[in-house]
Amino acid sequence: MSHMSREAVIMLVLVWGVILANMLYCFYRLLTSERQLGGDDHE
Amino acid sequence: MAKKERWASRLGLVLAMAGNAVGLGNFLRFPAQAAANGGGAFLIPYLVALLVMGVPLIWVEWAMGRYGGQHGHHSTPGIFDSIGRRPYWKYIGVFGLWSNLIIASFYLYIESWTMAYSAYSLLGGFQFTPPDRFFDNITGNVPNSIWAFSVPGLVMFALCIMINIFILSRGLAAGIELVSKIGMPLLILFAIVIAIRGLLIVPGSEAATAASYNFVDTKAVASPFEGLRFLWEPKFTSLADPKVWLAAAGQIFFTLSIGMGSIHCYASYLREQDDVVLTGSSAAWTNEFCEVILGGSILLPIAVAYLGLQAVQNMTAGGSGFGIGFMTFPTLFQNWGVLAPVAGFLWFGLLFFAAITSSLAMGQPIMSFFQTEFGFSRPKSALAFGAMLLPFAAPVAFLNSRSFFDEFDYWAGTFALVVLATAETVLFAWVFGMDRAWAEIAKGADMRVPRVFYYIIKYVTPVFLIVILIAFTLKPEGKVVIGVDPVTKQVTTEDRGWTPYITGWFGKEKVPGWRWATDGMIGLLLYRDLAVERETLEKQLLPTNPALNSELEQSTRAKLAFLPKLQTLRQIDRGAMVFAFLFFCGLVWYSWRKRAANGTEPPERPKAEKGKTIPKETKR
Repeated sequence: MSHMSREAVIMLVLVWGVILANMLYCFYRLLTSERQLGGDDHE
Repeated sequence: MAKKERWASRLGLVLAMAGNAVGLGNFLRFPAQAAANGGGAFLIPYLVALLVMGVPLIWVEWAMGRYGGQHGHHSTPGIFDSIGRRPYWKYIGVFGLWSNLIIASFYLYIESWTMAYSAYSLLGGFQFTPPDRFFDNITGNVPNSIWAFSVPGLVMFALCIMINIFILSRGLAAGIELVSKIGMPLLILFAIVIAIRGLLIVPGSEAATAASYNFVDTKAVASPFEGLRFLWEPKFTSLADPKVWLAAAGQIFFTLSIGMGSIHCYASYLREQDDVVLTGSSAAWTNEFCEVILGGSILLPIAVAYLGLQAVQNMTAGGSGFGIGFMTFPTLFQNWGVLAPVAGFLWFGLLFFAAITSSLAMGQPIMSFFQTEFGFSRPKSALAFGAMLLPFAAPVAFLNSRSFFDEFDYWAGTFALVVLATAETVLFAWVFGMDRAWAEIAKGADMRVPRVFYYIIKYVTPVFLIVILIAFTLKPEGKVVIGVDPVTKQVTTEDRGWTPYITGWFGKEKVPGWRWATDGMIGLLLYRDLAVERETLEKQLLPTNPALNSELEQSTRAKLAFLPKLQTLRQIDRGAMVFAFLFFCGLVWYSWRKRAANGTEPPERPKAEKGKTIPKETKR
């Protein structure tokens, strides 16, 4: 990590943080939701 | 009564949609684009484009697809028709069938290479065969020849097409969803293993301080973190460059598979009250995870560790990591000892999973079109897709890649996507009406969409798309002088696209004369790339060229003689693309005519009063 500049580390942490936070939040909501797809229907 | 096809689970749908979006570009194009356009600073316009264009368009396409599905349509001609209710919308929707067919014809070819590479890696073949020779062996690539094919390459391509058709014929839940549920976790696992192993490389020069890691590699010339720094160090001056903003918007556009018609198709199998907001967002952020976090941690760090920063900077200057991924990585993995065959297998295996989950999404809209508009069974529509694919896949496999392959990639894989996305945004936000569109997005939503997106979808996204469309269509060369050698007086120039025409007005640089760019729509239409190549080759033949010798003269004349043949091939492939588009238009016209004759046309959509939403949609 000593090869990374401080600016690069800050940028990486910020962008990774935004992406991980959004993805984990979406999956948390998705997996804890009681609504599901599926089941039969006919047309 | 026929049982309507549905997705089996929400997680399966998210993985299928994410698989559709996660493709080869996530691992090969993104890191090179980011590195070539300002490193960490590139991520700022990238995230802005994600928020004002990517995510809103994802919701728009999901909502449009679900709406069309309620009206019995699962492909863009029908979906656009059910929303627009003017005859021409269904023909604009034809782009969503046409581009999938054309893209699939070359994308499946690349997919077959990943299969061949992963199998050959596992057998340890790259210990003895250089990757560039292996590439030439499977593509049959011969310089300056219109023919380019090999028997092993054709066998792999045919196998790849058959695998895709077989999976598609099994249906949504038992085919695409099952493959995505297996393929996506494996893709992520393979990528994590390669990324961690790559970041643990310690160059021999640092052995004294890092010997305890046991990954000291005397072949490595730099730390992989140099590669990460190259990718992430923000060069904030690049934010003032319009080229960087366009590159970021383009990357967001292509990474999310927007404007293809595949998202509409997948979403059309939802029920009326199924959520599109949370499910769509989950798929979009999963794609970002695969692209930025995984894709950004493999290609550049490993390449920089073994080749050095300067070499990798040169290799990625064009914004593509394809050469590193296919030509360099198999050799670099040989430095990993006993892990080499496994590493090659994992790398090309993850590229294969990324590709197949995307190629299935290209086949499904065409299959759905035959199923819903012509009443074909699933196996029959899978075969119809295969039959339509063959006349376009064959020239891709048999002819020089600079003809059909490259042309299909640009016209269907780049330009048509922007056209369809612009059309669908105008259709949904302005023709359908933003109030109705907003209500459609919010219907059954598991997550509240902030009100600001109402205005973003209505104003910002269409403007963003129109700017991209104009920028792609009219792109100028923008040649600026960046230096003059004081001794030889040789002038060094750089093509900077739109930048000097925009920043030039603020006195930053001289505005150059207008010439079409070789990679812009008009430039390509006028074969500007071939004209520029001809100029360069003719300059090499001038007697004043000090490097001119008989060998160079012979090869240059061969290249010059090849250019007119290439132009003829391009004229033929453009004719083929126009024919395919008209053929789809004919099929749409016929199926609607048949529908009208049978009296099965959908009822008129009720008009919304301004500011009001209609509580329940008219369903057939």
